[in-house]
Amino acid sequence: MTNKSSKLAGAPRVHFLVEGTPKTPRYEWFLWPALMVLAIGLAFVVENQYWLQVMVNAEVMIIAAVGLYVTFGLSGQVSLGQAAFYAIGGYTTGLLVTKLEWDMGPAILAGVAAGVLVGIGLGIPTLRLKGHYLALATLGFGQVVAMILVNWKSLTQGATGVRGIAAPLFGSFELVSVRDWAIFVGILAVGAIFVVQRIRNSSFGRAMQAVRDSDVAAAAMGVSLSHVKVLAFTIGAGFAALAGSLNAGVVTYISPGTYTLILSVAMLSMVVVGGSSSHWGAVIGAIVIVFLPEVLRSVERYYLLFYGILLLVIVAYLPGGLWNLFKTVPKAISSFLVRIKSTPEVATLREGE
Amino acid sequence: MIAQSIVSGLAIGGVYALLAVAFLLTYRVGGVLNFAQAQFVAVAAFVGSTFSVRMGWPLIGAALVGIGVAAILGALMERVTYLPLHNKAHASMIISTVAVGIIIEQGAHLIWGPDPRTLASLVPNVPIEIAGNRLSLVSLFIFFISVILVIGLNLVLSRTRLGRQMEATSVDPDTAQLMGIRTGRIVIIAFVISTGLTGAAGILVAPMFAVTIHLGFLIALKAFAASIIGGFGNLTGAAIAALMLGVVENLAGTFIGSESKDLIAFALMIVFLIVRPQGIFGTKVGEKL
Repeated sequence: MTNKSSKLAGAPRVHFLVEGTPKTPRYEWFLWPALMVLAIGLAFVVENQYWLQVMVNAEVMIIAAVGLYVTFGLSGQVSLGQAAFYAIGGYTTGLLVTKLEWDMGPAILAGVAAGVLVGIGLGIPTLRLKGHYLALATLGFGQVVAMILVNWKSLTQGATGVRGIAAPLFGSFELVSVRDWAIFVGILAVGAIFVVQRIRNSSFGRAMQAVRDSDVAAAAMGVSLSHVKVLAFTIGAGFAALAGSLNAGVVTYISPGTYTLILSVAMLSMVVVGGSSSHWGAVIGAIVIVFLPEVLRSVERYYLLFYGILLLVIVAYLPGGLWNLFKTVPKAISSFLVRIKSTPEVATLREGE
Repeated sequence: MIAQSIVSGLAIGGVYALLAVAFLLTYRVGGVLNFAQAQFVAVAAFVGSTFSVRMGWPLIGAALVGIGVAAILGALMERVTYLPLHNKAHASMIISTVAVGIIIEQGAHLIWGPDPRTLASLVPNVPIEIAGNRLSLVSLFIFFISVILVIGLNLVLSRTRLGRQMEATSVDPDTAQLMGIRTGRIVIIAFVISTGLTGAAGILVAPMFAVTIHLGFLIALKAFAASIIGGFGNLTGAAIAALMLGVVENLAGTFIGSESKDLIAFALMIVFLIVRPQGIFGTKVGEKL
């Protein structure tokens, strides 16, 4: 993978800006089929309809979170408007299915396309602006979209929302039960993680990291800042729109109340809590943030307080997030083992640096 | 009708202006965008309401306690946001202020509950007659107090030693520190002034709405919008833009329809970001790709 991508123009020039070279671990060939089996298997193993629903929610959020990982984790752009793209996906799908009687599959694709188009449209003008501005611009954009959803009643049916979003996926193939959706969304979520990993290891992914670490240096190395930034932002928008479309399909009902600033903040928290240095962090963050309120149901009153404190503590004192915690603990153990028995592991590490 | 509409626009615009300059103050001095401002607005109003309605304090005393609590929370906030994070990525600081907002919001919810409270205005709610127009005394009062506070802050920043120290800290904290300025303390003071002003905005705006935890939400967002429209980093420009925004959206609410009222601020903000990101009064900012 590394060799192939380094042939592309631009890649070798930013190469040294990024710590280490992405390597394909030996367990890679086994990882993706295993995750696929896990995602499908869980859909069959979990009997409780409620927990199945929560699991689907987590899988939907994984898709949105790994997308935001590309925008925020890889290229360092803070988006506080992901809920707007989630809404654009959801409403495009929902309205196409209910009003124009499209099949679910094409409607979901259209939702993604709409998210990508709006992402490019917003990205090109606003990405001239640095970190702080982008956060404010996306925040404002989220607010505008939320208000349009409420006020453009003839299209969106206002605050009452859109009901009965159900249609066959393609032709006569229909996802009926929550379990069917769990399988479908599970496969897509694993696919999304895989795609994001490929993006991360591609020349574009490395260019994004170079831009994040120093845009001046990256530009001096011949990286096109505008291309890279707009691409990273649009990928985040597209994944959020896909997640929103799937959510509309699973829940069959959408209303503007879902797509608030709180959701945008939650999506950003997923990436941060899990650890913005890796797409696995986003995956863990999505799972934690979705399951946390369920686990803390008995102390529901204090849940948000706990959530806020967790966020604050992780940002301030655990910058690598949960993923870094997971990674450092086994690493400490393995380095202990390495000391006992020297392995080729050390040699590969040196080479990577 | 038009005069009344303009005056209430100036009143809410004054509140936006207070919030906008408070927002920009921590940004200028410490590089912190305080996304918890909405919650500070609500906390000051809640505290003011508790002291005046429950404990029977005179309004002015209750108002000062509300502002004081907001200022103290601001100093605490500096400890958990700026102090551990000022050398790290901007994004961490943005998220930490959002987290502080969540904590304050939930804390307020646990203390005061979901029921709306009330807070009376410092001046009686009577119309007064000026040049044949019946104008609300409350609106005029809010407008004047806001303008006085904004001008006062401007004078502090431009005329006093503290203001120059803040300016130095904002331009180059390392050099400022070498010159003997206690930049850590300056940043805390900036936070205290900023959240104190935010609290004052909360006390002023509370009589116009019911006091709930969401009191500050839309107001603070519109103040963010105003600070971009006015020119980010430029306090006077942001204050003027905030006043204009208040008037424009109130006129739009009166003559076009109430749905347009809330949309206008954000639509204008997006237009400005696209067409003129440096705002009306700002100098060139951001980067050109």
